[in-house]
Formats: sequence, structure tokens, C-alpha cells
Amino acid sequence: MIKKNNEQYIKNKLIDERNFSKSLLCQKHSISNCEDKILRAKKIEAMQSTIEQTGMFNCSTNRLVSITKGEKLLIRIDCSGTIPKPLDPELLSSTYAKHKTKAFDSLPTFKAKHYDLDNIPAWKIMKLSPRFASIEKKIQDSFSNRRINPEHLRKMNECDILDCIYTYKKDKKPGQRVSLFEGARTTAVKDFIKYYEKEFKNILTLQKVHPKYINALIFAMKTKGVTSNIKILGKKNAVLDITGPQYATHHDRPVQYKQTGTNIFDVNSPKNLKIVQTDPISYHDFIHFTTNFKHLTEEENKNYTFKEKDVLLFAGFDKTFQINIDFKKDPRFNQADFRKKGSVKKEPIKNVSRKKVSRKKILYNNLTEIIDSCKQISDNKNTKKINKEKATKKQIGFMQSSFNGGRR
Amino acid sequence: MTLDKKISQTKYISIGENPSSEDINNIQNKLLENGFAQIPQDYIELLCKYNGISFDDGNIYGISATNSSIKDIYKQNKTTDLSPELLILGEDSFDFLVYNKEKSLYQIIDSTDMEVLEVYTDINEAILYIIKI
Repeated sequence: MIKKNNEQYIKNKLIDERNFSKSLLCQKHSISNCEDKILRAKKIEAMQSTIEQTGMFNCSTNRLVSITKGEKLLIRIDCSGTIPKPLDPELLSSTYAKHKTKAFDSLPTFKAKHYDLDNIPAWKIMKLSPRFASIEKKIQDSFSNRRINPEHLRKMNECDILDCIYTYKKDKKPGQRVSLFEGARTTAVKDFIKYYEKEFKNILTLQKVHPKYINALIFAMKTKGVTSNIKILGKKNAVLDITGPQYATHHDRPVQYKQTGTNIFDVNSPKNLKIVQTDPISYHDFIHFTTNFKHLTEEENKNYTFKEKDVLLFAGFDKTFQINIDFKKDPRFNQADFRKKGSVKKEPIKNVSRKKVSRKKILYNNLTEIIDSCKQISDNKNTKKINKEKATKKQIGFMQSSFNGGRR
Repeated sequence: MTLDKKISQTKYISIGENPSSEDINNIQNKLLENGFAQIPQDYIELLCKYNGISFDDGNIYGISATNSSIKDIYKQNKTTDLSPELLILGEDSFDFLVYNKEKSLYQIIDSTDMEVLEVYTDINEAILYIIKI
């Protein structure tokens, strides 16, 4: 009976989710089609209010520090782990650009150990990413391979470093996109499924997803860090008609801006990467709903960030379809980091060892507490008495002045 | 390595079914009627082979695709308000791939502040920026 009620409860929840999402989609389309400025502003306000009423998101206008083109490139590479193409020559420093024009064979050679990357100001920013820091040796090798003069390091920028490693890697492995390391997105997905497979499987089962799809999706997440385009193969590798939900990795704090006092790679930290369902209902679109409307006023252009910073998976507005960090089993996160901003409820601390205190000491402490409180009461009485006297004096003064017709 | 070879070697990728010439004409007329730039010829040729591509966070739009992973070029442009000379052809979690009608080239633009990040003359290369294979 309980099981039946539970099933009905989940069924109702799923219907609610679908209806609510449909209404949000209608609102979004209606904004896009609206030509009237005043009406459009009202519609945007209404949709913002609908999203805010879910109580899931914090809403703020973009008041963050914008970032340079080079920094944008670094964030994208850090996230995907790959360099898409040779660098735009305009982004390169004049020193490095000049070096590229020189006859390669006439250049002197240097060993990799001669390159102290800390001499490059841009490297100090790049190495804040654990992924870029992990390829320090490869960068030194690429410098040596491209015969860069170590004295020129101080004048090099982040795009020079990327161009150098791109050219070096491309020489080895032909192909347009060059892989540097496992990107933050892939790592986030692999780690998520490593620690939360059971909880994730539970949500998919509640959503009545086909078991074959569940297994295939989990396998893709574990091996490739992929959360979409899952195909179920049958006999003779024929693709079976079994589909299921798809997900995207969402940056909770927008990638285009940085917060003062943080490094640019914080946006790719596991704390900021959330796995959000995109199909059959795209919650990702709702979170980004104001992103693509043009001519938005400063007030209209809002960011939605998760209120609960410890949400890892968002597959519905109902808590049933969400997964939050389990600090006991996930070593990537420190609960104290989340407590500072009050985004996570403080868990009761268990097994705290208590020091043994003697009975005499307890009695003494209790007595001093009683004496202190008695003193406080008498002090309060005294101050009340003084205040009363002051008040009566004031009242008499006021009466006298009003009697004389004066004003205060 | 060519786009064809890379696609054939990739496991978790979805491709839309080939559109008919009628589908293509319809979408071109719809875009024109609604004040959008029309789909360039080399992209139409690509659509005949790959009517939309979806891989990880990357999506290259198709036309009237039955596959739910493939986003529709007309619908996406209708819901995303950009300048009329720009036609959005794809997206990843950071950027849009657009065709700039005035300049007759493909651009990668930041989907939030619309800054142009990359410029391509070859559609195959531009696609490989969005579809990271």
C-alpha cells in the first residue's frame, strides 16, 4: 500500500514538473515574440518572478568584473581540455610573433630545464588551474622544441604559451583540435558518477527510465564523462529505440565574468559545475532564460545561481530529482567552505569527546553563574531606577516649558 | 583528419536524418519572411550530409530533425534574439556559431556578451570548434 502511494506521489511529481516546465517554455516563447517594449518588460518580470518563486535560485544582476579574450580562451581550454585551433596571431605578443618569423634552424637550442615558467607573468595565473599546472613539464618541452629564448619569457603572454604547446603537440599528432589534459567538465562528470552512482540510479528509476539506458548512461559517464547522445545497441550493433534523459554541465556562476578576489578558473571548479537535465525537459534553458534576449536593461539581465550551493544534480524543481553533496563520502568538498556563506544547513556534530569535569567544579561553576545573574538583575534594577528618575525629570522639564509656551 | 572521418570514429554522437529539398526551401522561406539571414550554400551542403550534429555540450542545428538531440535552426533563431545579419547555426556551453551575412563568414561569439572570439571561412573548421571531437 505504501509502495503504491509512493508511486502515485512520484507520478504526480513528474506531472507537476512537466506542467510547470511547459508553462515556463510558453512564457519564454511569448517574450521572444513580443514587439511591444513595455509588455515585453512585464513578461520578462513575470517569468523572473515565476522562477524566483520556486525558491531554488538566487537572482542577481551582472555586477562582476569582465574578463579579457585571452582569459576567456584559458577558461574554455581548462573546461574542455583541448585547444581548438592555432591561436589568432593578433593575440600573440610581439616578441613571440617575431620569434615565429625567424629561420628555425638558425636559432640556438636550450634544454627544457632552462625554462623557469615563473618568469612568465601569465603562467602565474595559468598555474592556478590544477590542470594547467599538471602540464608544466610539457610546456617546458614545447619551449625547448620551438627554440624559445629563455630570456624572452618575461615578455610572453598566455596565448604565446598556448600557441607554442599547440604547435609542439600538432607536430606529434596531426589533427586540428589538440588535447592537453582531461578537461574540468569531463572530470566533474566522472567524479560525480564515482561518488553518487546509487543516488543517480535511484532518480532515473523513479523517472521510469529503461534499465538498459540507465546502465549505458552510467557507463558513458564513468568512461568518457559524457552525459548525452547515449545509444543502446542490439544484435548486430543495430541501434535500439530506447531513449532517456540527457544532461549538460552547467556553470553556476557565469563564465564570462570573474568575482573580485577569485581566480578565473574558479568557474570550472567542481563546486561551480552542476549537472543539469536538458532532455526531455531542459532545466538548463530555464536557468539561462535571460541570457539570449537582446536589448535587456541592466535590471532585466539577471543571473540565476543555485541557492543551495551544494546541489550537484538538478533534474527537477522538486527535491526528489536533485542530488546534493554528501560531505561524508565526497572528498572533493569541504563542508566548512559551504558553511561560511550559510548555503548548507549545519549538520549536528556527533561523537564529540567531552572532558571529564569534577562535581565540585560543576557546583562551583553553577554557583558563580547564579551569583553573576543575581548581580545582573540588581544592576538592571538600578539602571531602571536611574532611567525612571531621568524620565520624570525630563517630563517635568517638558511640562514646565510647555506651560511657559516654549518649544523644544 | 576530416570532419567525416572524425564523426565516423566518435561513439556518443547524434546526427539528424537527411532533409528533403522541400524542407530546405521551406526553412529558407521561413527565415526570409521573419527577417533572418538565409542559410549559406556550404551549410546547406553540409545539412544534406549531417542534418544537425550533437556531441557532449556541442550542438550544430538541423532542419525539421526528428531526433530530439538535434536542435532546429529556425526555432533556435526565433527564440534567441540576435542582430538580423547573424544566423545562429550552433552552440556549445560557452559560445554560438553564427553566420555573418554582411561579412560572409562564420564567427564564434560569446553567447553572453556577444564578443567575437574566432572567425572561420571554412564551415567544417567552424563546426569542429563547437563539436569537440
